[in-house]
Amino acid sequence: MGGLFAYDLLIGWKGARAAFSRKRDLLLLLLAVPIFALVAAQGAANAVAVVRDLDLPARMLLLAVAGFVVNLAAERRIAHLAAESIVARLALRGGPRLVHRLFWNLLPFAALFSLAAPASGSQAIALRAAALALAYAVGAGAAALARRARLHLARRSNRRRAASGEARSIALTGRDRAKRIAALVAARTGVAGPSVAASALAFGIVGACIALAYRITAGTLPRPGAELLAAAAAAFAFGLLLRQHPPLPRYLLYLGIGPVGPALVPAASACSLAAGLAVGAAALGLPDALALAALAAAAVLLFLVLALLRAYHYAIRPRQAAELAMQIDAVAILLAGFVTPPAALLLLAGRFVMLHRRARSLRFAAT
Amino acid sequence: MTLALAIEELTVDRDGVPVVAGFSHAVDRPGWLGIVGANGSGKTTLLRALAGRLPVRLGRIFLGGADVTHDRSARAERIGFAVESGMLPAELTPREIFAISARSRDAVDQPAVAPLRAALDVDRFLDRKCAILSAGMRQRIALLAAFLDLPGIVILDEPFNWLDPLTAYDVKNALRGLVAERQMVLITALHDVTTLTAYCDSGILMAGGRIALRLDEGELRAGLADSAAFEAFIVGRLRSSR
Repeated sequence: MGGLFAYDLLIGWKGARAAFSRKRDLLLLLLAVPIFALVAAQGAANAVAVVRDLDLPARMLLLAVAGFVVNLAAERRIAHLAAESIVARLALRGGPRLVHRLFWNLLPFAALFSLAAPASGSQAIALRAAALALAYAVGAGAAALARRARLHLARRSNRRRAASGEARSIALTGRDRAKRIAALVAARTGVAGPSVAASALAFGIVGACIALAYRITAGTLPRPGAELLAAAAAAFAFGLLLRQHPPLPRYLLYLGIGPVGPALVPAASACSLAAGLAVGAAALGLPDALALAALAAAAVLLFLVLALLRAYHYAIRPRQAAELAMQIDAVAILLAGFVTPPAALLLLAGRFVMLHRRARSLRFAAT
Repeated sequence: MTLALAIEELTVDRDGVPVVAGFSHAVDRPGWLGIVGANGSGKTTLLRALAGRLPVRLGRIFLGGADVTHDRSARAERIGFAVESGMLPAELTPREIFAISARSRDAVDQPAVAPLRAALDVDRFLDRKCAILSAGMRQRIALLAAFLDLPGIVILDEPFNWLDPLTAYDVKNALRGLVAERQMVLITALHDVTTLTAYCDSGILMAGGRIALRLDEGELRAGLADSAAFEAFIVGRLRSSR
């Protein structure tokens, strides 16, 4: 009954073994693991203290987000296994799917629940524990709904496009190949204008507009309404720039072009967006302009990390596997960052080295 | 007589767009059905839907008389299907893939699949990781894995892609032998008209997600007698069905 999860574990185990197959990798692992374990243990103790200080709604939110993220990944994985794998027969049956989901949820739920559940208290403990479990279940349900909604919207848009015979052509007129690839990547983000420079200018204006909107709403909305609105708008704009065309990095790698350059094409627009925010805030005389500028700079850094991670994964794996690996990486790095930030940086650097090595070995290779 | 496989007015979408539309066909006896069509004519979508890998929007599918239209699991259980060779897990070896794919761990050693196993010549790379195998080698693994449970119906999508001429020849003959010996239904998408005429018992020409032409065994064998004329005829039908 645990066939699907056993299959995933086998692939994970074999993949990990292959990643550390050379003697120097093993040596590095032997050196790094104890240091990482020591730092992580200290960080975990701090994280437990932080979570224990949270009130019940915040703990519920934490569990709901975890339930959403874990189940979004599980849904994707099961859909992939049912459509494309050698275990499709199992992945299409209700029983193994359910067991697979349970396995996926067991560890994160148990870990987070034990962390967030009240350790002692009154008779309300059972109620508070039930509320936390319910929050996780709501997050899990929301993931299933989000996936359905996304598929429904994609199908509707494809149907409409097919009915209208609409096909978007991209003008690739640059003299050298790098410029043509940049234009293609920019167009594939779906938000680029006639050129990369035009896109950067547009995003700079968007950034300034967000700052202006913040200036207007800060006086009218109760705190933190204006802050949340501005954060959501900025996150949406950065999210648009993070969009990538999954087969493109793989194809470019086949042509011998590594994923770094293409992944950084939208970086100009991201920097411009952040600059628009910071300059707009300063020009409008916002009292927290400096903090806003620091946040915008941090957002650009995060953007770069995510864009590179996506491009590397899309370059070396089929789309479904890449998306799953990306989610696992993102969760691992976020968790490490939450528990102990230095370990997250180490983890991130190590991960990029591994991805880069893998991508380099696959240049010109039909994978 | 209960039909092995009956398809009625089948419509299958890919990303919301109908790719197979109003497809009807019945298979009432064992044999090899070859499906030929231009790129994008709906062959792969049809085969994937029959094997349970895609849902059906409209129409009905019957297996042995039972309606399995909305039961993708039943279709996947009862129909053998070769996965795309690029989708084989790179980390695993063929031996591990066979052990996972089949219901029985030792299915690859059963005598019934021995001729196909020999034709595919997989033994020399059974314990190498898929990551280092060529496209042809991975194709061989995917093909053998589809037969390990000895299902009554097996579907292969362009099975001879990547195979060298020697292996392709041996595999075609092994498949013919399996169909005759095990009285099974084999359905393959093909791009090679000679294979259609020389090995298949019936044929379908697909265009625009529909059947443009049905070919029975007599017509196929007649086509084999004058391959060039038959190929020109097929190409003509493909052009006119665009």
